[in-house]
Amino acid sequence: MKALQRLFEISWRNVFRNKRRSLLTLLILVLGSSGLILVGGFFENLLEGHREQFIHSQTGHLQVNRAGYFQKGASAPLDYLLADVGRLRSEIEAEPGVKFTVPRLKFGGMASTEETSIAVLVVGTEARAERRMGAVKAANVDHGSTRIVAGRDLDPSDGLGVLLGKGLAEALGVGVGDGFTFLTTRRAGAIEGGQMRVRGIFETIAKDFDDHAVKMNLEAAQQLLGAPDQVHSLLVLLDETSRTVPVRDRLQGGFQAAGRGLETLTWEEQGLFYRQSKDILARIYAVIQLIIGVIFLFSIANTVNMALFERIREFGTMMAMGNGRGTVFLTIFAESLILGILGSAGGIAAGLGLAQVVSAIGIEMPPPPQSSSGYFAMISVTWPLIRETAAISLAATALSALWPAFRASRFRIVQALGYV
Amino acid sequence: MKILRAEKLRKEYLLGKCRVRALRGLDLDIHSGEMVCVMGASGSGKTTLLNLLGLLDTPTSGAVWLQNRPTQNLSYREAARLRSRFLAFIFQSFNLFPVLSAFENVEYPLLFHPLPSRERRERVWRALEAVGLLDAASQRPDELSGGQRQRVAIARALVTRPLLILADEPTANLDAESAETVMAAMRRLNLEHRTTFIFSTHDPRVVHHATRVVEISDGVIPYEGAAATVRNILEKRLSK
Repeated sequence: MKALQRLFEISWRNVFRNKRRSLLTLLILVLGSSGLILVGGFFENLLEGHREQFIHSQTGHLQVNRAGYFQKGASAPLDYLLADVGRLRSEIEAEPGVKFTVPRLKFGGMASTEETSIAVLVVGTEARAERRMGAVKAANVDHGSTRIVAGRDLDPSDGLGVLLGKGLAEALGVGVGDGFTFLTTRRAGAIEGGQMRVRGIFETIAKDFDDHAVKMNLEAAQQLLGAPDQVHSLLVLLDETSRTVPVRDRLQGGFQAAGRGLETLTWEEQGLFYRQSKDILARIYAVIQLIIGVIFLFSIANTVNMALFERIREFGTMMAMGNGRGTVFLTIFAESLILGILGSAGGIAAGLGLAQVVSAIGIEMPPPPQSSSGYFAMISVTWPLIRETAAISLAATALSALWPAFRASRFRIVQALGYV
Repeated sequence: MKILRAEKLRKEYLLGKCRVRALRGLDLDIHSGEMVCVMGASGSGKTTLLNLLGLLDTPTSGAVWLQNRPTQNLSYREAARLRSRFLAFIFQSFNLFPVLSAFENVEYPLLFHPLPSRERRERVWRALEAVGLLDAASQRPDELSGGQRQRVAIARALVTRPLLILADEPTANLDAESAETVMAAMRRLNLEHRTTFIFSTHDPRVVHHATRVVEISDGVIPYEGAAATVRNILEKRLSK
């Protein structure tokens, strides 16, 4: 034990034997590790912002529908209506982790003015619950997920007063207080219509949604569709996004056990764009990690090799005194590992500090794809990110030491002792 | 008591495309308590001989017997274990670990021996005392003179209480005064502790410290004998 301790002490002291060289290597490790933290934290923040905006403007954490609605509901939405909604909401809201539910009734129709007609998606919802859901701010956005950009939010007394998505309002050429004609097909097949009035104009992160969406009070939507007390979905909002899967499993388990014919989908299952974005960023980050890892590998291998040739006679002396090849190997390996530990700790500390500074200032970002509003990005440092960064620098240092340490441990003693 | 025996020791190696015969069938016995000087010119085979006797290298043919045990078929691990237990080395360039203090350098070989830490520390202090370096215990090699460094190396060799200490040109990098101090320290340890030494040199001024001199030339031993006799021969050679 004492021998191992002393070997580690020798390695520790050897790390600082050539201060300039070791500091240069440490600098590379610190810059690389802090760079990984910043880039990874930036990507994490992008995804986190996008995720929360998506959840709070469109899907909730979970969505409970009639089984099959997610796959086939678009072609026959009226076949997938949920009944006895009040009881279902009470059951879901009693589940630990669930904050509240938002009912939604979605159906298509045609919005027309004197100038144009546009196919629209009507979202019938409860104004208060919708407001509560959309008011939640993501970490990097200074407004709620659904932003009223003109007029006011829905009021339960609005009747056929509606909110239009920003893109749709522009396409129809209408503003707050203006009216337009709306037509849809009722459940029984009859055409129903009415004169709607614009109470407000909203904007979410999804431009595609904003270009087609009309929000109106649930009760008025149910009357238009001829489906009183029925909805397509209940959006479930949780206290923590991280609880999504466990709550889904419990709810779905209960529904299945009772044979209710319901399906519970997570926000991620519905968020194709989020999943694609996440995959792309993960690939980009993996390439960056690989490049930095290779830089680590070569710079540390260079340091270890230079140190090795300066000290061949030392290793010969160790072996002459009866040290085994493993001891020589361990001494060199430990030196690299010390460099790796110091470098990654320094890099992570520097990365955390820089993340604070960058987050305090914010990085002004343009609107992302399919979105209409820009935002200020920050750096979100997570434990997995720290662990990955530490693992990369430690793995690179360990790998870079393997060959030199093996070579040194295989020196012939007399050659090592006679090395000049 | 015979502690080491070299029998028909031959060592050949390639230097570029040339085959060098460093040792050509050499016989040598070392007895406990001796202080043997291996003397010869540069390239005569002194270092090769000490490397073979110290189990640092293997002969092309012939054998080295350590305490009547053959060593020619030992594995690396077995040879390392024998070196650690029975042998110690003093090198021409001291070969101290520059990041360790004098105390830590002397302590180093003991770390691989199963000793209680108190006994280990006591042995280190006694070894430093034996070479007169108690005051320099906390100093690192670069803070010591050449003579002091070589005395630290002697203490390091002494501390494991080896059967035999092999010193390859221990005074080659020292001035005359330091060389005399180092050789005197080795001789005192030889007399007081009965430590057996083999040292190589090409410097006739240090021969008088030996009890026996082995002359080596072109890989063979043309002469060996008591140090006093050899001294007379050397003096005659020098006077011619």
